[in-house]
Amino acid sequence: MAPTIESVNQGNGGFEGNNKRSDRFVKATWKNKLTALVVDNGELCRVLERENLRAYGVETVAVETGEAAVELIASGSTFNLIFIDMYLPTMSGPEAVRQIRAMGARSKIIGLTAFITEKDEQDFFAAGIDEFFEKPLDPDWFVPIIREVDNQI
Amino acid sequence: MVGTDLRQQLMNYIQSSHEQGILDEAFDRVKNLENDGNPQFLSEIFSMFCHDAENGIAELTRFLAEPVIDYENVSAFAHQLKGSSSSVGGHRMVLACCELRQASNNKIKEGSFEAFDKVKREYCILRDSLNYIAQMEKTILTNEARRRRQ
Repeated sequence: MAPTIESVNQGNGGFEGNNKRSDRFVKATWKNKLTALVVDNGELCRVLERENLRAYGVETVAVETGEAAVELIASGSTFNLIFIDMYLPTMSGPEAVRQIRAMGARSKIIGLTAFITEKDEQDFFAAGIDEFFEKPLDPDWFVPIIREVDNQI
Repeated sequence: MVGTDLRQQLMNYIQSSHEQGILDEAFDRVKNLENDGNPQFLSEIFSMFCHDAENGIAELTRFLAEPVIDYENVSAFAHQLKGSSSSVGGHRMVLACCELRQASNNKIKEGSFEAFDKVKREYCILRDSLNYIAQMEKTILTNEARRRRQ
């Protein structure tokens, strides 16, 4: 069953995603060009998160570590959205988020994990995420988030 | 038409896997990410999953074989396996990982072993299912390419 999204573009034209998956996705058209950063040390999760976001028209970069994410932001890259795993090697998800927020990044940051626990939720929100979800990415929750970000620009 | 028959056969197989709880809607989303630019996409995804799962199972085997079980690491690997199996829509394997994590968090030795056996069984079923689907897709795409050339 193909995932679908509601049309979000009310204006004349918009930014179409790099979407060549013709019949399977309703084309995502956003008012703005949207960018996302995925941070996950698991290759499978990283690739699927990246491809899911790209399929919905979000220009997405994926990195393996918290350090790489922090370096990207420190070098001046900006992203509308950041999807970051809780458990990363060496620099944890919460620590990476703390450093990203300390640099003044105003991205919408979504924490991800396989199992949400109360403690993880507290730690991650305290670090500065905006939302916290269990994997995998589901358009039922990430499309409204993208729409909200698009409307706020 | 052979092509239509194979596609129907594949759809029926996937439907049956859903009905048995082997696959869930996350699998459908992965399948829908296939595109003309990379016909190997599904095979690559399934290979990544199997690689992750087999590494995770090998580590769990090691930790559970220790005379004093490191339940923290067992829980951590159950967590990882849950993440990757949920990403490919492996519903029953996800449930087995949840049981293992629960048992290891509660430091229940027998429960951990039972749950781990279930994880291994469900992984084998899921792996075989994904391999069959990938193989069918490859056959369908090869046949379609051949027909276009004729």
